[in-house]
Amino acid sequence: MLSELFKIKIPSHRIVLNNIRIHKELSGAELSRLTKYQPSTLVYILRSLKKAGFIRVSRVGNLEGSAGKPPTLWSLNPGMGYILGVEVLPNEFRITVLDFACNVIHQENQVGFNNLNADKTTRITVSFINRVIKKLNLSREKIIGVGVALPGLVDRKKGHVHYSRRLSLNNVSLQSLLAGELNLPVEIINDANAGALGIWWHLDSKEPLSPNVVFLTLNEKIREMGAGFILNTHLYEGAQGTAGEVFVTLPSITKLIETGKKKFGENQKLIKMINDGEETSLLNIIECAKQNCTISNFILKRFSKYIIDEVIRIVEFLNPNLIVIGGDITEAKFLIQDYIIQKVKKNLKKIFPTGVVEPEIRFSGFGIYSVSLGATSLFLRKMFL
Amino acid sequence: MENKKQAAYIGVDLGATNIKFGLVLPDGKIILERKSQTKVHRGVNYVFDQIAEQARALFDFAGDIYEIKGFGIGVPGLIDTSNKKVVEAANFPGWNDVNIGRELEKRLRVNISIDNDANLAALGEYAFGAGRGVTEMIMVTLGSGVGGGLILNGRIYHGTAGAAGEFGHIIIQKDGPLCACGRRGCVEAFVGKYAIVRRMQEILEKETGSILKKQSAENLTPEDIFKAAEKGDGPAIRLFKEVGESLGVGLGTVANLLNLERVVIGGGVANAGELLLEHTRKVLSEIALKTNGESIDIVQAELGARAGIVGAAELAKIES
Repeated sequence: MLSELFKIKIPSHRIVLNNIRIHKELSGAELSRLTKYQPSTLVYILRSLKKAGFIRVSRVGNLEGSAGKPPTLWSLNPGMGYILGVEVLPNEFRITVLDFACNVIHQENQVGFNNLNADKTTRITVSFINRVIKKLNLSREKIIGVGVALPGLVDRKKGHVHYSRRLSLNNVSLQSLLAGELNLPVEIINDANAGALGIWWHLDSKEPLSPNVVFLTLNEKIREMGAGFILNTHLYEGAQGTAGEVFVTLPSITKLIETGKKKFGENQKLIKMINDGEETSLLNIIECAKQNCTISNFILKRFSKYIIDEVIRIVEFLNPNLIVIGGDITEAKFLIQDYIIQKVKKNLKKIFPTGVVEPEIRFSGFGIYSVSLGATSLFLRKMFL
Repeated sequence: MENKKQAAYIGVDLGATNIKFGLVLPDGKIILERKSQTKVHRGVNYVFDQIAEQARALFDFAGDIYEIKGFGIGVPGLIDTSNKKVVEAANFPGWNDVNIGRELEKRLRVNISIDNDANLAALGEYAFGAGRGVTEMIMVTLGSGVGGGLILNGRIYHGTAGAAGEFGHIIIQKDGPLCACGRRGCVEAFVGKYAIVRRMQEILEKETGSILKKQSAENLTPEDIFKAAEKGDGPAIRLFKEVGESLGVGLGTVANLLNLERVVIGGGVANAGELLLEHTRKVLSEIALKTNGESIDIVQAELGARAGIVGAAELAKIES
């Protein structure tokens, strides 16, 4: 649910608002061209939206080489409201806060939660969100909603978690639990689906949106890849909302380190780090790989092979335009992105010699916050579509 | 008083061996069917003329009773549906980048709708056959090759370049048998017609107690194996169990990926029915997540060889 304050009931008003959202700043003439509305109609819509506080005059534009009145440029009013997107991981929370103009105003993560269950997950999520609201001094009346993304089988429409092995949740109506505790509108979604929606909603507006997008998420603590799909321009969740289980289980980092030691010896940055008592986290491995640690590069290459196999399988079966890889692995973007793209291209050339099915493959520019940012889309959809 | 003509659509299923034509009512009922041999070796224009000639006969038949509202055609290969072009068609030499829509519209002066043949068979089953009542399904055609047509959110899902739904080339066993595509372990290398015959020949080399032993191994067909299995032939029954299980592995992957409601199995090999599908269901339920496994049912196609015609007519109806 969305509070009455943020319900824009007239479709033409939503269309104008969404165009301003996409382009950040538009004049009446530009809006008229984009929406095909008569200038007089637009004047009425813009006045109504301004009166309701959704838009504001951002500045007066420049006239290029002609006389006359300079155009008034409209933008969304950032202070009108806020959307929170939260990703719940087995031992970590990540949050992204957007203002009404869709600017990211805050991102942070908090680590160190173990032995989660329904009660504990609800309690900690609520306390984390409340802490961030307090820290940013956000008025609760101005919070449009909280989107929560988590790994597992999530029925978005019913707000129900069928099963989340990593979070020890089984048959939980998480949406109503969180909404009750927070006293705010809450929506829940599978993490990979949130990532896919995020790509759709937050892509640079100058790029045409791809009709078929696959978002693959890979986080260290989950060790299984998840997939989210935008197919034929819509979020595809399957018959029960449980599509996207790709079931690629990544190899254990500990085992890979042991194999690496045997292959390359122990005189390596990563091994020294471990011997000094540092955690063997994926992020540490990526750091070491950046410093030319052979074992770390070997581990990343092994991870990449799993990603390559999955990407090829998805391309063959779903033939998307765009594949975006998100989650913790994005920190290794500059180390493995080119390797993955080249290997996928080479393999696809063998299968489809004409190359017509080659999708664009990229790492999410939103880094580790790609899923929490995507979770905000649950409310962007309600506001702007 | 003037009689109002009843709406009808022409559906065409272009195959490498035959071209099947049908005059189809909006409810999927076929009023008239025709078939002619595909003379691919005579060139692209010859085949277009063949199609046009048969279509004109259907127009003549329609006469004053039926008003032909659209013309749909299914073509095996990679299809650019928006430009009505055949991008690639492995079994039709010289057909790459051929604008079939423009050529047929020029000859018939009617709007042409075009799609891949497997997609249209899926659409036919979805609208009037075994796929009725669901919105998320795949139709798998088991023949020489293994095709797939996806219906997602109640619409054909093409993918970006029309290449989606390649179920036959999902790899289910790394380093498995060699597939026609050049890779190893694809679904087709286990459940395609040639794979089934090859595997039966391997079994017969070792087995002594099969009725198929009397038959020349070179001329063996899946139908022979099916008939033997129906008569209780142990090796033939075991083969269909193997094939059904392999199909279950591939479909389990698809079920997890797309959380579908139904799998419709068509094509010649599907005539084995429960001999095959019983094992497919069992393996699928083992591989798929509980929710995704429970939500999906596997059924035999209902429209048989007519699914392509009915689907092509349905596409014409949707686009008219």
